[in-house]
Amino acid sequence: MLTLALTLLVGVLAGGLGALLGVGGGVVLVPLIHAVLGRSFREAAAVSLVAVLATSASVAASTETRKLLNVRLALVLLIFSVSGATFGASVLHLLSEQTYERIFGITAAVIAVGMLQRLDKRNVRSASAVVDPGVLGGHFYDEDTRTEVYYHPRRLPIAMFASFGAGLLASFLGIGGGILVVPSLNSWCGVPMRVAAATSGFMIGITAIPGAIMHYHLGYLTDFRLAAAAALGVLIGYRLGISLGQRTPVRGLKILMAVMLAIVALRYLI
Amino acid sequence: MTFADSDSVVERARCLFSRVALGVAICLLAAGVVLAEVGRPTESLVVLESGAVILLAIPILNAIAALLEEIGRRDWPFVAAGALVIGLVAYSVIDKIR
Repeated sequence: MLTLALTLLVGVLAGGLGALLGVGGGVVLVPLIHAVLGRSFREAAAVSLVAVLATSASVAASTETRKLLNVRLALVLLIFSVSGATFGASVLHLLSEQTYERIFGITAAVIAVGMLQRLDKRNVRSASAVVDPGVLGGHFYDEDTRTEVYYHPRRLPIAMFASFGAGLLASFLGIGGGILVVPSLNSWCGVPMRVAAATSGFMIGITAIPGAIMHYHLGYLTDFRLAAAAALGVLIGYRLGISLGQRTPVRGLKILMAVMLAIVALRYLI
Repeated sequence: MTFADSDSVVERARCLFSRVALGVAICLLAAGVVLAEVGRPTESLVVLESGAVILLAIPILNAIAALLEEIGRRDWPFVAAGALVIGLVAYSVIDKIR
């Protein structure tokens, strides 16, 4: 009972931070399940993938997201993320527990640095307007600026490469991969942050499937109660994070998160 | 191009299905945890697995809805992209079920 309550709490924390910082819950959930609950890294990753599926389902069901999600861009990038996830899932059994930890440590370090570099960017801020959206672009009404924002994705190979990496990480580590896709779409491809987050939210569920199936097939998902508690916690936390989004000092949270990730990275790399 | 650009039957069905399926999945996961705690492990496992299967089905059906939208628009490059994505996911699922 205590384990389930702790897992639910860890899920709420992961989902809340994920929604506030746009990092996805997995990067918080996996080390907490591993370190706090004492489960193996493989099991933590398997549990996290179920939570990722729940988060993505929540994004897909949201009316707000529907206005922002760029389906065509998602379909193109999904080819790469699902390919990465399928490849990652096929070599999953070859990796040792220590290799998982090393990969997670490196990923956590990279995310911490990326987060510190993007301290002043909120997860809900849009980019400036572009006139011609093109085939893969789009438009949406931005509540903050009260204007119709048009955008045209550029330098797509970067997003494709990031999507392949996100798929690999989803299968290896149980994290959604939004941490790679959202910054690359926003910083290098000119996609507004809210559109990037909604599109990534749609993508992570489909990307998580090959890894989730393989983790189950290899017997890493041994405790469904734990996965259910984590998924329910992440859903609660995600809703809380969304509702607190405008009022929370994101800069401070990002610094805290970066410090936490740096500690996680040191724990797994040293 | 967003889902909201279209108010088609497919899009309305997708939205409704996602909400209902997520609600059912949440209920099943919560019920499964409760059943496990009251000492009904067999029933709990069935209920929890059903919840997990629904969570797996939601993104797949969303991808199929996106594909159907592109077929409706007769935008064949994106139809091909959608078909490829669904094919890759289907491969990873069927390969493990066999």
